[in-house]
Amino acid sequence: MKRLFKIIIEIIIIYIIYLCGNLLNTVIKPIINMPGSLIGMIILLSLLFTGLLKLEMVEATGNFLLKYMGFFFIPLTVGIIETYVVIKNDFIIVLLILFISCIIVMFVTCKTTDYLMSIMKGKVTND
Amino acid sequence: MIKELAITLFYIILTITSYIISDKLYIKFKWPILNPLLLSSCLIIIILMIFNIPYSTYNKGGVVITSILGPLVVILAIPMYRNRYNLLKNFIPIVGGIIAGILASFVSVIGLCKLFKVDNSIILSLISKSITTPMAIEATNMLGGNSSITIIAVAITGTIGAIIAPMVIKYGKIKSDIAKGIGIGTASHAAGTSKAVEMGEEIGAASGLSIAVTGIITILFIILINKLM
Repeated sequence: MKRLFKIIIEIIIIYIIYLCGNLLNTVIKPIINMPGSLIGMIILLSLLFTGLLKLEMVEATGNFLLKYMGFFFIPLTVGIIETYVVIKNDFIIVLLILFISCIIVMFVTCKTTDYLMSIMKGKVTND
Repeated sequence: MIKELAITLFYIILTITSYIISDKLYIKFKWPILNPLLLSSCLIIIILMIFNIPYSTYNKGGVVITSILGPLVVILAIPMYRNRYNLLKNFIPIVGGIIAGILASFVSVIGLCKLFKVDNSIILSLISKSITTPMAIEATNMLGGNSSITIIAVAITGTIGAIIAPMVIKYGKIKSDIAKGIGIGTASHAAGTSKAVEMGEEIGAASGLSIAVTGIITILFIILINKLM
């Protein structure tokens, strides 16, 4: 019972932060349209950094949802059957382009980060 | 009213069931193509087609699941906070890697589209496919593309990213966990991050971080390009 109560509190905290993010989004929209969820992420991070919120106060729900994160994307992926008509004639080509580009982007980003990390590490040991 | 509720509940349960089945198959065979996100989506698509159910009916349950995505992105702050020292220590490699990835995304999309002789309007709509949906729509509007194409491209890219991530990391011989996460998040936003979280705590943290950073830098680049042109 106590555990259930804790989970409910956690969900409420997370949801309030998310709503605050959405609210802030409408304020800063003219400057940059940053999604409310990402602003919420920054809010939660700041709360944790300043110690206003302890990790234990959101951890149980957070761990559970993160474990099954992929699940929550299913309806969007299924939605492709309805929306693909917009690019019906080019669908296969676009799919191919997105596939190749995704591999390139992931590879380039990984390799560059890896490389820069090894350079910086080398610098530290040389000093 | 009760009927509506029953329909909503039915499609939620259908989605959960197909996810559990896909996850079991994936764990058993470990083939990347059996990615639970792709497999369960295909399973549901097949069921909808067999019984001739329109997507809008399925989505009555679907929107309930999709509505958790916002709070989920908020939660990504948790692994980021847990790995804060390592992420802060590698600030320069992380930002450097992300900028390289964004440039690779621009160049590869434009290059491939030119190669396959795709329409200019589609090129403009595909440029921002690697960032999270709301920001991608914004970017496409700034470029003058068609945002409904962008929405599909973002969804497809996320699914592709989740599938290819283990292979790119294996055959690309990527060493550090931070680099793995940054690559996954930069290439395939939150859907890819769901795979990153599965692969490891630090990989997930880095991937979550790069969703935000990639989104912001991409938008800034596009503002800059618009100013120059």
